Amino acid sequence: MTIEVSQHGLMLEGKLLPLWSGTLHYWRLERSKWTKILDRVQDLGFEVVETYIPWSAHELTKGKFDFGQQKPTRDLPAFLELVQERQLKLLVRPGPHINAEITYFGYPRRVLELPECLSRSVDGDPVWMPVPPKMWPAPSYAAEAFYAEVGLWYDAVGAVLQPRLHPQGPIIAIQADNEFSNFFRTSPYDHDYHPDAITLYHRFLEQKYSSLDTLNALYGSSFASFTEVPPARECTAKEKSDLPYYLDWVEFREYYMQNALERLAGMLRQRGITGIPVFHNYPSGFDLPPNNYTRLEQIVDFQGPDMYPQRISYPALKSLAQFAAGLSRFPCIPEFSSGCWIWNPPVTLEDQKFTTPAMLMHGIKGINFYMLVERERWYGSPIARDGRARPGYTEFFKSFNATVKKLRLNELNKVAPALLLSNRDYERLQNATTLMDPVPLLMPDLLNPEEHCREDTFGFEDCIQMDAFLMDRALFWGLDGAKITFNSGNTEQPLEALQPYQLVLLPTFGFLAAPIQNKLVAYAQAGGTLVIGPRLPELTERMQPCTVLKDALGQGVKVAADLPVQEHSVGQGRVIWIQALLPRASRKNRPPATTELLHRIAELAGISRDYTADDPDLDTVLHQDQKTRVLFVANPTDHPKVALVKLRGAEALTDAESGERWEGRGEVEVPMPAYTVRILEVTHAG
Amino acid sequence: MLAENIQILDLDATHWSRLLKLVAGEFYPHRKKRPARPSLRIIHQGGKALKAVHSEKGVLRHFDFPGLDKLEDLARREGVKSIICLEHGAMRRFMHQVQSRLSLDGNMVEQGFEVYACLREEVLVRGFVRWPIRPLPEVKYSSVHTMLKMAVSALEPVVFVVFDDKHPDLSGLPILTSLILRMNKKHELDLLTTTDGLVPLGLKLQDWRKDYKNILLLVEQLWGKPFLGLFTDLNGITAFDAIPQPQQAKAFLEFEKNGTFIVEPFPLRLKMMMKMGGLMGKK
Repeated sequence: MTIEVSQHGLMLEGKLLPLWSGTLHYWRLERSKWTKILDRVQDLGFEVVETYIPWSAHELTKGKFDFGQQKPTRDLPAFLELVQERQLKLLVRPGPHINAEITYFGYPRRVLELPECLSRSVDGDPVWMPVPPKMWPAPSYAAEAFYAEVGLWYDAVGAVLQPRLHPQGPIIAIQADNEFSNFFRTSPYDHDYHPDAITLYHRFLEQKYSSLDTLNALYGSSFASFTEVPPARECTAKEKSDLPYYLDWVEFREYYMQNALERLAGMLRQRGITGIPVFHNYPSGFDLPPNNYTRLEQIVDFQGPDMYPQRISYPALKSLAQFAAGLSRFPCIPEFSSGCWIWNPPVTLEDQKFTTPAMLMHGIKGINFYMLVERERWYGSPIARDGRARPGYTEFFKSFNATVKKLRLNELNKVAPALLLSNRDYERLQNATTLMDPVPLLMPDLLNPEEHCREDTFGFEDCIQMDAFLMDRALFWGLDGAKITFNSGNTEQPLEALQPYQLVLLPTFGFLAAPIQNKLVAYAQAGGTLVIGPRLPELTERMQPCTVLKDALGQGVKVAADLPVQEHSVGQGRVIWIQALLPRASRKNRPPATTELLHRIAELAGISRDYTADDPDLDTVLHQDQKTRVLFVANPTDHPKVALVKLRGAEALTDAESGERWEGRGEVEVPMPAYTVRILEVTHAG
Repeated sequence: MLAENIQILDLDATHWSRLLKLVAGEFYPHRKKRPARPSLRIIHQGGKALKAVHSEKGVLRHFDFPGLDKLEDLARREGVKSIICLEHGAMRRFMHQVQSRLSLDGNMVEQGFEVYACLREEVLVRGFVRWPIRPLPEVKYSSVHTMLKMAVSALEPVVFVVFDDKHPDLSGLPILTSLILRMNKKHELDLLTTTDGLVPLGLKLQDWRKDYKNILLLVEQLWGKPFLGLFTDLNGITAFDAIPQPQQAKAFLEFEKNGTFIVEPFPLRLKMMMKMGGLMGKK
């Protein structure tokens, strides 16, 4: 590949190109306005732009396409030329799914009228997308007939794009498909039950188990062939031995997604789209089934969640950025709100002024602003569709681009000493035991598992699918209350991903896969501090005996007076076992005992408390490299506050945007208006 | 009645967000925020609760469910004002009905009516139960569409503008919010926009009571001769909102008469409908 992906951006011939970009939709803008609009985009300080390329807008009839021969707004080659002339770089997203608030999400209607191309519900019906301005049946990403249709589109668009790839042309990355999430329908028993999807399920089982005997032994079944295994249609598990079948079904749904993206990325490469990274974006921010960031990043070169936050949703925003920072090789947001579509709650300029630096604060190193230019079905961007600059918005984007360049914010490293892990198998159990099937959209992701999962224990001591979530939230808000900067991760990550952290935390229950138990022990043995609990797992995810983690623990020493917590030396490090479910916690309810416990654990792990603010509502995160230190301070409340920031001796904090400066020895007071993120350069005083 | 190719464009961001606030009552000092009423959501199967979520207490594990016939007692026991019960499996039945009946031929409102019909069926078999019980009336798309055809002309925009000096929009004009809508020949909504699209055509405003005519002229130039125009200011719309709903039709005519509202054009058929509505409101 001539373009490499780094954790700070894209490397073009060894030179770092930060990914601060923005979207415009050429085909929705008057052809005569393209030049003026691209000039405006450059005036804002952007060097990279992004566009979807909609199949439905370019296809005239099956296999026949218009790239400007008939309609000037479809003149994709001319658009690419204009981008090239301005020495802008370009990200392209040719679908087939693009959403883009287009009716049918970019699929030609004729494809949605082909029954063999459509996804099937558990009852064999087409699966309808309830999105304005019209509901339509979703295609199946397992259907061979669908891929044959996509191939025609990729043939045509690939021929236009291939000669214009970097370094000959402006295109520096391509997105395979868009917002893959089974069309926001993430319940496991909703769809896709297309015959080709069932074939794919059987292939998955065969790849996973190789031997039918292994599968039969695990499922307690007597199938004569993998093709006899029926797809799961609802969860009727009663005992722990029933669970592997359902966990496999949820894992298959992840595999379905991986297979689709791998196939589409491969189809693009077959058409000569090589040498540039392939990327992807997710509508559901969190790394929950069917998303599997760790496995998907083996298929695409970079990826990230989309987000359209209002400033009141700061906790969700922070959590999302922490996931991206903990899981991605290049933590970026492929779609971040710059304006909004009318079916969504409005995202205002005031929201953007707060949420944009907040994303950087929590570890995001690249943002594509969606959209920089308004168009039909979109409002609130810095440039109107006729090229007018929107006052207020323009100043914001100019200032943002100047600040990120001046401080090289994408090159600095977020100082996060802790990693909060979630266990993929518990998340699969949550997905498998949902009562919210087959709909609604994203409901398993939006509701907490306690509100949508079955309450069965399946013979374990705990209701794992619910209690794992409660323990995770208790640790999350405990870390937050104790002012320990952290990222979020997943047990599918390799040991090397855990090792940079001084502290790793994972809720553990009755079962935990053997490789994960081994990985956690290895992390502690190498000197890390590992927090687990409330249970020591004694089974694997296949419900086979495994006590690796339990066996690694030596004699325990009590850590906290009020809570049953023990410290165990393991190799050069330690394991801290919290032996009971921690008290329920939320943003509004952070139990002091948990905060105290996390303070104590931070001490044991040797975590520094510099640059924290005293107020429990205020957040601080330090980013640094050899030359520069930048402290982000956020006030996510609706009233002004003063942050008393701890310093390392005599230091000064200078606001990168306003130029205000505060000096102090040991600590300094910084005024924080309501809903503000200050980006403060840290230097020696005087 | 939503066109497949509806154009939603030139939305001034301030107009749109303020319009939503206006609808939500956030601009009206007389509106008081109602405190949330405690409620209960239950998923049940075979007479047992699989899940119970209280809006204030959160998840109630191992919930004792007395059955669908004793919801009033249950509401009293749990201190809630409303209960929604979903039979596990009802959603799948409902989705099967919906997904097997929907068609690409209808517009989204037509599709929505199909969904509503399926919802009514599921309520009738008590798959979905709401307490206190509120029957879902049978409503047909064709009836609603016919009424709309009678009320509004096709291809002629409807213009709504609220002026306010204290809330300039993105172009610096004294417009709190605006909305311009139009139906196509099939009486489906095919345009949703604001006055922002008129700015490049030279829209300027000094005195809205005179200059509203500029808006009408520019709308005609861009989108066709308006069918209806309603112009007022924040005081006017606030005063109107304070009037109880049954009396609003009558009040509308009075506001038009005393100049609080400028309604131009004001089609006769709408005036007649307002008068009839006013009489009904009196009763």
